[in-house]
Amino acid sequence: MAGIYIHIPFCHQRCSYCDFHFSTLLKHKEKVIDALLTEIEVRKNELSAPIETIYFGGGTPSVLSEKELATLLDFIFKFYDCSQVKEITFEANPEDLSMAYLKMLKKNGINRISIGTQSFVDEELRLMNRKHSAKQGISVIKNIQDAGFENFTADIIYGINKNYKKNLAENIKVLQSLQIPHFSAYALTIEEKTLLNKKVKTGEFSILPDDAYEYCFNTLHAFAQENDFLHYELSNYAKPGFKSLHNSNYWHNKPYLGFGPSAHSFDGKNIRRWNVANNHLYVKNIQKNTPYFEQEILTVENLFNEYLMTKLRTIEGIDFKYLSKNFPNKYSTRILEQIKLLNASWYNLNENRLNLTPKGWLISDFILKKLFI
Amino acid sequence: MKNIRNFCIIAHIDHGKSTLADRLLQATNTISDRELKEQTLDDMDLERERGITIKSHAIQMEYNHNGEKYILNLIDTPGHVDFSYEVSRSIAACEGALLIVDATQGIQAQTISNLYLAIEHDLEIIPILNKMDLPSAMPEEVKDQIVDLIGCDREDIIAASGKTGLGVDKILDAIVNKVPAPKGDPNAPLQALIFDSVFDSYRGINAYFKVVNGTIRKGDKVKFIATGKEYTADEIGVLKLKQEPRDVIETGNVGYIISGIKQAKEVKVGDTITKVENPGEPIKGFEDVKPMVFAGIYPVDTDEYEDLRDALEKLQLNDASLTFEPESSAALGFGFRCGFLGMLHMEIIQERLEREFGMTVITTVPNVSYKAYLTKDPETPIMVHNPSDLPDPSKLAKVEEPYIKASIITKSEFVGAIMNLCIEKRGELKNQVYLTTDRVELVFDLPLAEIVFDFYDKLKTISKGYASFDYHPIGFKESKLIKLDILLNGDQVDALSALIHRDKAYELGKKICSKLKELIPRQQFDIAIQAAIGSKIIARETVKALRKDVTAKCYGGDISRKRKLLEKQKKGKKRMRQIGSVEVPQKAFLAVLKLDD
Repeated sequence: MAGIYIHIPFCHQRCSYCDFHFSTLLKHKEKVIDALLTEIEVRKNELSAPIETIYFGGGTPSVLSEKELATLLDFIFKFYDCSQVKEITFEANPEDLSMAYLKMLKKNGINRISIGTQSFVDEELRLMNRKHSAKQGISVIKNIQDAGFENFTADIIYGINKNYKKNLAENIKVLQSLQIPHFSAYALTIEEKTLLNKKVKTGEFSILPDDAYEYCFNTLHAFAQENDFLHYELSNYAKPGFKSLHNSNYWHNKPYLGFGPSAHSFDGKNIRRWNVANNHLYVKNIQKNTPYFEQEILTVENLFNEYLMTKLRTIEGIDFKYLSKNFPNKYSTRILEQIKLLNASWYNLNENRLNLTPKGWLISDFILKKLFI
Repeated sequence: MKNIRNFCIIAHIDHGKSTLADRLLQATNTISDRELKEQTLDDMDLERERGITIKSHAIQMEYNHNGEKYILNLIDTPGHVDFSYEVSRSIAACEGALLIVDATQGIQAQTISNLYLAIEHDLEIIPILNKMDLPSAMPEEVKDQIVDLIGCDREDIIAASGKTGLGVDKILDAIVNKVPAPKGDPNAPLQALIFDSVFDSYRGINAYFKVVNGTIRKGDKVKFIATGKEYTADEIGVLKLKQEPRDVIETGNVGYIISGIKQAKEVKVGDTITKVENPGEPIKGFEDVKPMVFAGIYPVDTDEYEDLRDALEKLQLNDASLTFEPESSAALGFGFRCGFLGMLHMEIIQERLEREFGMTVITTVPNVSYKAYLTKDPETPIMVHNPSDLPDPSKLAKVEEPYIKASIITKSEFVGAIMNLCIEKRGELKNQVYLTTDRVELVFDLPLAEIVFDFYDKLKTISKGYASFDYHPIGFKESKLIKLDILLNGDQVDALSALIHRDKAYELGKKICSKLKELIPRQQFDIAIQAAIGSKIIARETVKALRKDVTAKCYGGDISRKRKLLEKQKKGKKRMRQIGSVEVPQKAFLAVLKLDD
């Protein structure tokens, strides 16, 4: 089974925390979509596995018109084995999701919406430079449900400013009252090339101390446990039956094709590649049939490190049987030696598996640096 | 001999010495354009990167002037205060000097002290204004400075540009017409002055010399007077772009000798080569250069101790001014206490160890050498090269530390700030001279140890880069020094100890603790950082235990970026040293040097 990711590299405006690749020059949309269609076609023989999931991400896929979306899906269904597709996710911003647009998505086969709510508190939305209001966020979720989407997810970013406790409580209240089946919650991360980072440098914005994030993370975990959500991945929470299939495949070594500028692909074995993160260069190189991506071939060490990195994000953790089948024995031995130097409350270990506790997840980068080869 | 001209170049760093030298080599066809790498004379990678000359070099040019052939020996000099003795020997081998001044910047302290050296040795000075092609050149103002300084005629100052080649012919003519031919007696016993040596892994040490009196022939039995060692002159020759063997080097000329010498310390700059039979007198001015700054160098990986010894031995082969002896530290294990000419020299050695030998090393807090006197024997000084070796305070009569005389040249607007800095550094103002209306020379007596502790960086900052600095040692003075210790989670880390002035202990202790707090990454548990004098804790900081270290997002299947980031950070961790239960990064050991960053 394999996945397909389509990157729609346009946004109406820049969110203050975002460093993903996109452009606000929507006038180039048509050219980029043409190039996307070409890429979808030329890569048709790359995968032998049937497609299980399709994911429209961005940027903002909700800048697509019905015709554009339908054409993209047509191409995918035409050139790939989509007989076993279970999940087609579409990322959208609340301000774009009118009832009509939602019905259009439904009509075209989208069966999962990922909605960029980020917060249900206006103060936080303003700080993140989001275009929508808290009220809009709430009403759009009701619309999603009314339009007949059972499966959807909302994004939450926590730890924005000094009111983080109060604001998180408000966000949790909304998650609960709206009967949202899945959510992702991320600690605010200040990336290098973002508006927020500029403000941090000038002193206009300050980063909260670690205990604020610790508080939010623990509060969310407790909320999940009390409300029948499974905290199945570091940043993801699902009611039974609503785990994200597409994203889970990233953690489980499944192959995926990424189309569009900056999109990543993995052959399921040892090659990762990524398209150029520049709309103009992407279009130009696709048109001329010149290289538009870079790739790396993973060494055994890389593969091992990736296995740890991805699996330890999940509740399943790492499987020693898998390790002994795929890597030299000394690798497993090393993990056992290293993990025992760490605080026992950070992990669960038995003879078959090692996984991190929520406490461990909070410092998983530190742990990974200890365990990496 | 009458057609030989020996000259050196006096210039401040960045004033374009090397570029202009390259033009001279091109104009005399010593080097073809194709062979010209930028800055030919600086052939160590490090030198080229830093734009400075560390070792001196020499090169011979042939120049036709009015139908006569002249031999021009350019003796390049190191451009940094750490190497001022080498400069003085290079100058002693010359009869003339090109004084190169950047027309956009004016005269700097380094230039002045070297210029005085040249004038002391009666060198003919040819003043040159370089970088005249730049729009920011201020020729009239800088000419005033030059006239003030050497009392030449304004017209004698040659306008030049290493970049465009402007003035190169005039410079060559001036060398021939103004620099006197060497005076020496061809029939006197041989006296050749060694002004440099280089290491060649196949042929051993090559010594560069100038024949002051007599002549030297291939196969001569020679003696190096200071070391007392005797050799056979297996090969002698002149220094073109490559070495060119000759049978004889005549009086006044410059050449090289290869005589099977394996170790750099057998060839001392300033020593005199003479013949075993009919020996001459030593040329005066020889000094055995002593290291001024000491620091421990330890391998990050304790298994690499022997590799580090090998590397240091190899470095010493071509850098006789580096000294080292084994030492051990409770915190760092086995390593070496190394002696350096100065801070730049120390940085260079550290960098060469990393680049040329692939060693990852920890350099401890550098210190100067102190004289400690015990109450039971107050006459005999004990030399202390390492703070840990300071005898117990109860047994100490007194401690003396080395002082320097420092000359700082700056714009008048910065005088106040620089005075404050020097006084804060326990300096004593000795003299203040206005060189021109807005350029001032300040002369201070300063403890050398204060120069070691982030003096250069501060000077640069407060003067916005418009201050140049030069110094020479003036002996030892008594000081109230105490040992400041640093403890991590209660364990004393000997490699972080420093000897400092008593009045500054509290302030420094506090600063060191807070700097270390910045540099030591958060770990599994709280880390207490304490500064102590004896058993008394004077400052404390805590590095809180790590509670969050996670990349929440790993979006769109971009696994590579995160993996690479973590792998890179993991590599960084390998540069850390485990001390007790605490991981300490390499750079923390030099933290005290950069307290105000």
